Amino acid sequence: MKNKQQKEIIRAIYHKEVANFFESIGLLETLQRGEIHCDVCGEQITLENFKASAKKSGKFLFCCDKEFCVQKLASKLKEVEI
Amino acid sequence: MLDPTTFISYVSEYGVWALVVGAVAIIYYLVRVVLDEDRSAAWRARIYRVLYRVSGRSEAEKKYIANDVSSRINLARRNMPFSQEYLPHSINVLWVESGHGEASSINDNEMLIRLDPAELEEKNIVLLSDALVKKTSLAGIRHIINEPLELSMDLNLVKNLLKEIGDRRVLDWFFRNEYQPVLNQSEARREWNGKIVEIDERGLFTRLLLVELDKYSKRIMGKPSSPNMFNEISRLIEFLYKIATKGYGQDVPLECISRNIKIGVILVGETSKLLREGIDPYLDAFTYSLR
Repeated sequence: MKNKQQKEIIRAIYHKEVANFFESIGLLETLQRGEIHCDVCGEQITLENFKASAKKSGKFLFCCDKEFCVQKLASKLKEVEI
Repeated sequence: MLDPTTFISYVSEYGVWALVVGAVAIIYYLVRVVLDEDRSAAWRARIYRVLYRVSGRSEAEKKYIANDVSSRINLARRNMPFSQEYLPHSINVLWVESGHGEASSINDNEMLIRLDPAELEEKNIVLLSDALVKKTSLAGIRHIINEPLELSMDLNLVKNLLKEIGDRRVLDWFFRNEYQPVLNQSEARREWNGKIVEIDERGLFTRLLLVELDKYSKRIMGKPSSPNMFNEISRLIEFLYKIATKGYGQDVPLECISRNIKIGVILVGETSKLLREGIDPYLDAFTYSLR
């Protein structure tokens, strides 16, 4: 089959399964208590404004749906790789 | 693609032979689609979109989004120059399974992105193009260059990728929500972006700058980063910017020589010189530069 080159896998969270995602990583109750904040701008993360997550040294980072925050979260990951 | 009325006129003129040729053409097209992973993903996306519209089921929506985004980005990427070597890799969207123990399957430094409903597909395409560019391009030099330059190159790579997709809604969303707001935040970003845009508009971004940066990253692999490395890259960009913005009759440097970058340019374009003296002066200049 054509284009069988190695592809970059990007994992995505379905918009209706955000609560399930937080439950699967054991943080749904923390989220519901309002204790999770955007690691870039500090805004409280909710099921509605959650946009991306990343794991850094075994700890989860989260960011809200501001474009700037998603960009910054990606940069934070880059800093780890250096 | 043949329109139905033309095809009917062929059938009425050539009878059964027109039908045979039509059937062969359709079979050929279907075989091409089946053998091409990205084209078949585009067809799967169309089928799942219909299923989603009819049934409203989440599974159909997930398959539509994953197939649509990946096929559009991958097909666009293939149309860009040097796409196999220097541009972002092909993408494959995998949904996070939200079962217990999922946390252990997420790797360090891996980014998970929440995608929006199918109705906001342009936003999903921009978001994943962005993630793909950041993850797979400019490898080996991201830790050397500064943030404004890195962002400018990323934005222009994403812009080129989205232009190839050819959907104006996607480009509109990108310019309104990402490109302009990101540039508005700092003068340094606007300055670097202006240079990259000029270089890009003269066709020197993906064809020359990215090619040279890729070679550069291989040359410095294993060496600790230093301010001199960023200076080398910024000098290369300045050099290309001057060539890209060169006016008629204006003299600009035609060599960029530093420790790890050695480029010479020969401008071939003066018709009068070509008619008067042939290509010999250019060949002489080429030989001289090689020495």
